Amino acid sequence: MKVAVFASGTGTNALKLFEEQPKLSRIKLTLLIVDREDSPLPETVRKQFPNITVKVIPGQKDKTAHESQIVAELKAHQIEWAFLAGYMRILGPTLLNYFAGQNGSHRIVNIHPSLLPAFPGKDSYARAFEANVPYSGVTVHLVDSGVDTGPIVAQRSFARTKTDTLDTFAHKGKLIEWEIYPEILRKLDQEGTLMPTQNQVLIAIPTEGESRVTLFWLQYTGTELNATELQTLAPLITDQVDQKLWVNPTPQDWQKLQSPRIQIIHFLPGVTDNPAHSFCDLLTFHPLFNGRKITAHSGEAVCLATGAPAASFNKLIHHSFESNLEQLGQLPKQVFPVSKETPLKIEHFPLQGLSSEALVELSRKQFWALDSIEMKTIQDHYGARAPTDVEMEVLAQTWSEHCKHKIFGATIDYEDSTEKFQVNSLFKTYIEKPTTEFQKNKDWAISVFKDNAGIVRFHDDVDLCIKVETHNSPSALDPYGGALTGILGVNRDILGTGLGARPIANTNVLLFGEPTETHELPKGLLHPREILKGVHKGIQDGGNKSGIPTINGAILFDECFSGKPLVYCGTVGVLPREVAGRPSASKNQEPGDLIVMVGGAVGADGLHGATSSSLALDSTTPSGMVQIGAPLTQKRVMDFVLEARDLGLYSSITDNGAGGLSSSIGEMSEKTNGAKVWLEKVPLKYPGLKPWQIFVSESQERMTLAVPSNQIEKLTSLAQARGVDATVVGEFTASGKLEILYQDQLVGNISLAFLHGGLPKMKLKAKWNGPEKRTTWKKSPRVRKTLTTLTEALETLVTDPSIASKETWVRQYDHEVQAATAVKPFEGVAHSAPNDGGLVWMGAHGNRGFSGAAVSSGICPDFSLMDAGLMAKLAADEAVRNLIVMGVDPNKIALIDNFCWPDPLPGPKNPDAEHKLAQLVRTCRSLADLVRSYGMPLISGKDSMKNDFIGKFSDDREVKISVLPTLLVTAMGYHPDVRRALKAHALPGNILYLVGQAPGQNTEQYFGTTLEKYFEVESMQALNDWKLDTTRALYETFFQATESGLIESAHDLSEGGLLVALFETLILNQGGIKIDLSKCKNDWAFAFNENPGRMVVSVAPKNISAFEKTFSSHPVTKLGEINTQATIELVRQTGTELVSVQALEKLWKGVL
Amino acid sequence: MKKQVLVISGDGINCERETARAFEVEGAQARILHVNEFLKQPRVLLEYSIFCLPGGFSFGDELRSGKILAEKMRASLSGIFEEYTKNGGLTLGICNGFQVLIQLGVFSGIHETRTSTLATNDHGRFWNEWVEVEITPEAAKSPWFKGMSGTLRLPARHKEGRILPKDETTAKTLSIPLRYTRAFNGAYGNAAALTDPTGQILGVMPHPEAATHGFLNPHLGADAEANATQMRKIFQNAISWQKRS
Repeated sequence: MKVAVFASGTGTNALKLFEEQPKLSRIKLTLLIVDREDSPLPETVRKQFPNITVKVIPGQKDKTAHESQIVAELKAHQIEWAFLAGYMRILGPTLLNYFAGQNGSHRIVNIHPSLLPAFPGKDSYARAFEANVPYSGVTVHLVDSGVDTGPIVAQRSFARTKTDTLDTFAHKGKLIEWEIYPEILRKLDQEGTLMPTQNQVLIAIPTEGESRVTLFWLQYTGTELNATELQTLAPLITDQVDQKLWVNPTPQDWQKLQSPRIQIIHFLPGVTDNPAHSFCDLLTFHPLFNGRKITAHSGEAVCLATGAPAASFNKLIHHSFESNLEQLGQLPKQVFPVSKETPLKIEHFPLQGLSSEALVELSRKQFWALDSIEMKTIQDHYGARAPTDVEMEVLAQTWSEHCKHKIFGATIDYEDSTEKFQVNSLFKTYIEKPTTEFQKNKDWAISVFKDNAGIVRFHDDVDLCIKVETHNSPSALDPYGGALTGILGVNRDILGTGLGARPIANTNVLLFGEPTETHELPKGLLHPREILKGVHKGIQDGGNKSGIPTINGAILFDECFSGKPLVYCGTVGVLPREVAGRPSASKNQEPGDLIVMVGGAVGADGLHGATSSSLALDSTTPSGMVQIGAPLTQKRVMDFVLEARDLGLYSSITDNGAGGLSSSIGEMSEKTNGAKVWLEKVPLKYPGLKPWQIFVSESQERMTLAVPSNQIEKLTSLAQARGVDATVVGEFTASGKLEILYQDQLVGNISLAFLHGGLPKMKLKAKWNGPEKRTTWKKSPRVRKTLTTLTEALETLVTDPSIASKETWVRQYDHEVQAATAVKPFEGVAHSAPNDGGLVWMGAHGNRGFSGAAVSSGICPDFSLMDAGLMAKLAADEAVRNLIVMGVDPNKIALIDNFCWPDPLPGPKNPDAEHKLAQLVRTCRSLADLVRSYGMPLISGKDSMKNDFIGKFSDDREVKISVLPTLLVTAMGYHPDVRRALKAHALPGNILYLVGQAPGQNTEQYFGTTLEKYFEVESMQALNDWKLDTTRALYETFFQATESGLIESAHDLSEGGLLVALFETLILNQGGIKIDLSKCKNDWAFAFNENPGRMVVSVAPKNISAFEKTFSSHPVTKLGEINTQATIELVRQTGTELVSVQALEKLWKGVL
Repeated sequence: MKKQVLVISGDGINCERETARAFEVEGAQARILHVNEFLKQPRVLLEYSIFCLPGGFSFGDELRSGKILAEKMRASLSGIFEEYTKNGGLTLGICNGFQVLIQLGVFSGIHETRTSTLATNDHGRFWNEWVEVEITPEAAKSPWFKGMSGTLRLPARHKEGRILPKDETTAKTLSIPLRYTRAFNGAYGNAAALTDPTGQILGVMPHPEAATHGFLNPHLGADAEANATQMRKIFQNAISWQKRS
């Protein structure tokens, strides 16, 4: 086969192609066409490659004449294919006709310096660089009549790093060009063609009355189907009541939409495309597609009114363009993920002799996020042997902050103005130790800190497990995908707990920047409201499509979360006590068991998720982190796993989350002391992944099982019957090593002792500077008002976005699938009154009777400014109290700690690292105090340590936005009888009490943060007289009172204090109350204090004396009888204020 | 003696357990069967007297909710389903199961022209809220609602639940046993459910299986238990019903 090369300039790519000739069998490169006389290329080629005929045919005005001249040469040389190597001319019909092939493509190959369809045309490197894309790359495509629009043959990407200039950026591209173009030449040599072997068709499905048209690009093998044949698909793929089917729609079709503008949005090639997967499933039911291979790609055509803004999309995962009707006749062909054949290539990193700086630089360049001491340790370990890329990636992943929690394991020297001490591991000292102490006295915390989730035994027949995770960075980049993978990821944690637990409830706590932010945001940041919308949709799809009720959560707002939102996702699971004759909490893998990967295939998505959680977010963060989950795939995996579990088909299970197979196999092999992996067996979404990418890829929806060899046949055939992929990818051994093979070549051989025990301990300093004032990243802080009336204050507080009603958002989550949610987010005939936590009836989950599992959360980052230690206690108390008010037994409550911190490690852009680390120490120490006083163990937890954004405003001013130190405490407790669960809402006729200390009356000083945000008031900076034991005793009494039926309703006091809680208590029944504040000196402090340990309860008149007697040793304040006036009447020394509950409700609901 | 309830699972269906439970607590035997197993031998249907397609997100709700599962089942069910119904078998589709049934076209006979669909709610959102529905006089001809009248409260949880007739003529042929007592999603005549002409096939958007206990009812007040008792009657009716020949 004879091939010509076309060039204009220096033709480096042409030379690379000619160099390839000795490796080719079928192809003969015979002709070089150059269109410019000043090109130095002909001379070089004549010298270096004397067998090539060089023809210089200078361009001329008449394109046809010029091309005819070229065609004559092509004919003379019997040329069949052409490679363009920097040929700076758009090809005309004369040349195109000569090379005409199938599907409107031509036997002409071009190389383009961008990831098409992005940046077609000239100067692509420069334009991509200026657009600040985190990733760019090189595309090889066939030429068609458009500019860079032909079918893609191959594509390869590179990451932009912080230090890149345009030169270094473009150089990375060049290196890829020189590698990929010869590869494609070899491919043509081997396969004889690069033509797409598949037929393509565009299918559009318009629905009556809707402004969005569903699009599918379809690619199929076999004989081409004509329009009439394809039209017979209509009954299969459209709803014939109100949908139509357009096959390769024409401009006339589009005109039927009567839309002046049309915007096309579709996924970038390679992004998880759930609609397309389902569409392919559907087509297989039609006889037309019998025996054909089909792939699809989905998109939408959005009708836009004149002048309307374009529909929103995310450029990291979508390609979007507006089109006129003419162009719509020929929609993009570059939609299918490209097959990229990469030969096995293992990189070796010689570390011996490298300086500390060189090691750090290498780590930074490779996104390993390993520091100099860690790199040095690896250098020492390997000595003269240069570790492979696979080994380095496995070490980087295993030793990442995300997986190893290095800061919590560090030795820390702490000091503040009054004390000085050393902590040898925050985790061991403050988290593990109090819980171990607890386990000596109580036996219900049956598995803590060693599995994917903590397991507790509250019920007679089943056990519960719970896990909470964060997915902050991914949610900042792609809010929808980030939150979706967050929720699906924590579901898998539960599925991978013990021998596999069934998820029965989801929770989510979300913190965003101000939803109405009007200040300019630094470059590269999405608006908080956009993030809220995307995250919300992700949580909705994640929970709803998996059939797991979202029963509890919170949405809070503060400007400190504008850089990185905090997205906490939690899941509760249920385990039978035994499965297939084994304790369900056990894991039993043994050497010889096969390693089976279950679920989705592996792609390049989610590379470096684990290590990048150890990096601060900035505008150069690689978008390989972005990925979308596939809830349907995971639901199938979940159903299959639970079925296989009950049949006893596997001995152990864990999930694939951060770090992918590297993490799951690495962890599981600890128990058997070894594993062997055959990477080439791992099913891939598309070829071309390097071995290390296969091993650390974080592609979603995968579980790893250990399967005894005598069960493997049963397991794989069950998987097949359920439509789930299950593949043997290795075996557990006792070799002491993690041996990683690819096509029989050992590409990684890592000592498990070194992998799991070689990481040196960090040594850190912590110094607390005392309470701090709030700072802002904005030009000026919020202007605060003078406090006048309580009415104005209350009206302001109920419109604080954190306090305001979230009903519109929360109702889009399914909170009662599985038919077990006894306390739901909202209550009442009017539906909108909020509850304090979620409660699940365990009778639906295999337990006898009516007992329940309750979940709640507590979070209050604002208080970290005073003292993060106090913040921790307040958060934990709030979580616990939210359970207490439902009637949960305080002796059966487990806590889960999730830390999201600003970077506490020293660095040039982090001057107050020691203070932030000290805040962490104080938080952990306080948490330990509370655990001991309350008798509630920590059973699971996680930390996220780099919640900072460093970037620039449009005027190049540098800005750093760090989150406030934030601890989320999730509490899960035992409820004896869901039929008696207390709700937050009080009925008229009952008497309202404030239970717990009413500090306003004693101290007359304000304590809180919400009022302070809007009004000129100053809070106390500490709560020195808060006695945890006293509060705990109150909760015990409270439980006795609820068990004796003395309490009708209860609601906790949190943000906004008493009056906000009262308002929420009264909404449901539009009740009213008159409160006498005339004896308070600072009645506003009484009204808005945010002290812990307090709740508003209602008591039936007949129970008053019993109630007061029960609480005789606790502070209880009678507030008054609930009337039907729907007014809060506040009697003050200065006169009486009347606040309408309805008016408040309107304000409260009008914010979000 | 016939086996009683066949409940289909798999492919993203997710309410199979509570749906089976709702029948079981009334004393029935319910079998949950994966759709792939069912389609291997669809004649198994004839051994049952109640066929149930539960709620969920089959095939991720892509294209049209229920559409893909309906097409997956269509060929295998064809003939067998008519025979099953003719023999007196009852069918219940809840939420996504209703969407599957409507895509199958069973509300006007499986091979007839489609008369209605379930379109996206007029407010465009997935929405979870307890709704009140009125049991209409038309319900009387369906075995599912034997001896029932008044109103029921139960949770609606869907995005594509707006009952939409093909046109005015077909609208008149729809048999609507339940109507929302206030506008909820823009459904034709506030319809919340449909039955076929025999009344044996019931498709319902809100979830009766999630309202059979008083303590699941967020409407505080004394009627929660009474409401649950009424709800259970739907399942009891189905179990005790036998077609008169």
